[in-house]
Amino acid sequence: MAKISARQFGMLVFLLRISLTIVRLPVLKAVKVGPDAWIASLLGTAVGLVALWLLISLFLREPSLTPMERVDRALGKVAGGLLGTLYLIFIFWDLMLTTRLYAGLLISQPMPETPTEAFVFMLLLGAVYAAHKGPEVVARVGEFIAPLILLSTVIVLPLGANNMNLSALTPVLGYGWGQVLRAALFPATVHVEIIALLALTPMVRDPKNMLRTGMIGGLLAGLIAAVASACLIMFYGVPRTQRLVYPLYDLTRSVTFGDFFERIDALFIFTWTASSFVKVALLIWISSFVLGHVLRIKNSRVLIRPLALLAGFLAMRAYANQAEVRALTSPQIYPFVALPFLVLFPLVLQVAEWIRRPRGKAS
Amino acid sequence: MSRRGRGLVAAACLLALLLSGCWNRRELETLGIILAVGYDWDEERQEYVVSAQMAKPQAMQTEAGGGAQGPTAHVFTARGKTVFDASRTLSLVATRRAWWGHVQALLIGDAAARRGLDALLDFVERDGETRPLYYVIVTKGWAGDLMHLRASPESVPALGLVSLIRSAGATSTAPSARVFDVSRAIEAPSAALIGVVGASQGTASDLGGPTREFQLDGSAVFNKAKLIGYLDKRETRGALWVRGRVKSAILPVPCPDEPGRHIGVEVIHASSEVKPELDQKGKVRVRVKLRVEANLGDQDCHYQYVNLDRIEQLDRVVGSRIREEVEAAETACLALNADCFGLTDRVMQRFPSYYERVKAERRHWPMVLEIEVRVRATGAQLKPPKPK
Repeated sequence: MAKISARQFGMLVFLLRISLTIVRLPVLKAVKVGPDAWIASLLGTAVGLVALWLLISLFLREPSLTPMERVDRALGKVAGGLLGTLYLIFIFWDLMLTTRLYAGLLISQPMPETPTEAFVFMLLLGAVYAAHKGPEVVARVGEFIAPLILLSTVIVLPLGANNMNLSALTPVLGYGWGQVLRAALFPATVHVEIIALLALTPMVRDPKNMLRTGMIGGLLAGLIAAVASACLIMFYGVPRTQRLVYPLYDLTRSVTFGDFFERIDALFIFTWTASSFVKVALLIWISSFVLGHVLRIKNSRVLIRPLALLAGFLAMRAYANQAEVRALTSPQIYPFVALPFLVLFPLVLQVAEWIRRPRGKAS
Repeated sequence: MSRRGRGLVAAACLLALLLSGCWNRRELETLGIILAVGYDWDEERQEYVVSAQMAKPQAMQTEAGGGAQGPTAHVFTARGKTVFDASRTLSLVATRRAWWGHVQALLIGDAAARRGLDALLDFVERDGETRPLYYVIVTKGWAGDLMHLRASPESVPALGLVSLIRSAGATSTAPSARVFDVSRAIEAPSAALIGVVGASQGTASDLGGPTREFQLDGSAVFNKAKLIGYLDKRETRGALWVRGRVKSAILPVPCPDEPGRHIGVEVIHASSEVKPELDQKGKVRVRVKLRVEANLGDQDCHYQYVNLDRIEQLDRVVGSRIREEVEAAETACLALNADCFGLTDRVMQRFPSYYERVKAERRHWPMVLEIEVRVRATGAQLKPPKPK
């Protein structure tokens, strides 16, 4: 099996995390936190990173096995298959949501009259091709794209500086720590997306470094989210920020530097397309890989096309309108969808292995 | 053909479908580029009236030796129950499809502004084709009437108007604001100030008949997104001093030694520091520190002020002139019951719980004004020539 480097793994962590962040920045929508959204974002990232640390360490104990194989061994084929299916459902759900979010921004802003199908089809066409080439190829694309995204964010945010107002961030902790903690739930639970990436563990060439690179990737994404939240609040003020559907996209439309450097939303669309592409390609490959394991199909690549087709179809049909997509990615709902996966999956595995271990020693 | 070859051909055909262009592409010559747009509210018919100034590209082409031919833009007007409705109704009169991506200025009529900017700007902020970078400006009458004005020497009126708005910092008497500034300002607890444009009285000259031109004229005061009144140029600058938004200004201050004559002092740099604090009785008051750097630009009197013992006297008279402007603004805003200085925002940030208690009845905060003026440069001569 070809190999992925730990460095590429870290960049994939970054890309997976940044995708939802740059388009929605849902932490801003926590009404009662106001100017402290950035603190909530930092806090959430910290908690999320701890979860990520535990998760990666758990699977690094036996880096040569995939999460599904570990689960099968610990729980047996039936229960293992059940948990593997749950894992698959989550990855597939994330795939659908990412596809839909990608098309959603494009149809609601720059190209309203183009049918959703066109964007879903184009994104999936490229992603299926990349997924067929294997995760190593996607990882290399990710290695190329991740720094570009980091760079474009670093360029865009300071451009708004002349219109930013530091006092918009005050009062600090005006609503108290309680509200900040509640708002931090979302940025903490979005780290659940990373569990999809753990399927790649056996492919990582130098698993020793995975923990470090994964944490750096997650940290960078979290820092961008926090800095972007702070910049948006300083630029728009709290009430307007809470009204924006695509806050960072709006900022790229509003920043102006010296009255000539403006309308840089194309840069954002590039960033958005690139990160969505890598994420969708990766999720298609992983879901086919996991499904292949559940169904005991050796060559899981044959599943790529049918799964992509299903994801594309469901991405367009499963959500009737913008309001549904918005609800699913809102801090009121998303954490409660994500939390069971984030907690349940590693917990069951940990407990099962703990129960089995002493018996193994005795025999 | 090999399997791979067939696959390539199929992919090429598919790509040809996608690469031929965007789904609903619009060629430049079919677009009617809107340069300025006016929003009005017709109270009688309960409708929005949108006036759009559409560029006439043919008229903008200048031939060698000749100027632009005829008017460079045409104004279309349409009505509707919402701004979007009215904007789309334009297609019944305009031969080209309106393109909202390049609008330079958004003029808002008095009636529409009194009805409220919150919902009025919704279309501009929501739509994908519009931009949050439009300059917003208020007119005291019907915005549609101003769409026909000229902005000499520019041939395109909308571009001239934007130049006026952008250079308003030279006098700091008409605050410039873009859509995103406005939407931020109208949600703040204090009042929002937006520049006002009107028409100059046309005067005939040898160069052509009388023309009416755009003229900036003070600012409009908005409370909770609704227009509640206007400030004149002097009052506007008074409010902008405290908001720290004075970029430059010429202040005519009376000559200390020769009554009836003035010195023209140019403000080079001004900044303000707003600090809410508690007084001895535990009440909130706001300490405002203005730091102003100025140059002596000209004088209409003969005393030489460039003297060690006299130049500081200039600092004082400039300071009291600024204080007068701020006090004029305070009086005008007290009458409008609006916080033009933006103090409420700061009080809310500094004393959030206190603000929650008193916000229902309070719009004004006692202000302690400290003005520090430094007149630095005095130009190339010490005093005007004096015939003996």
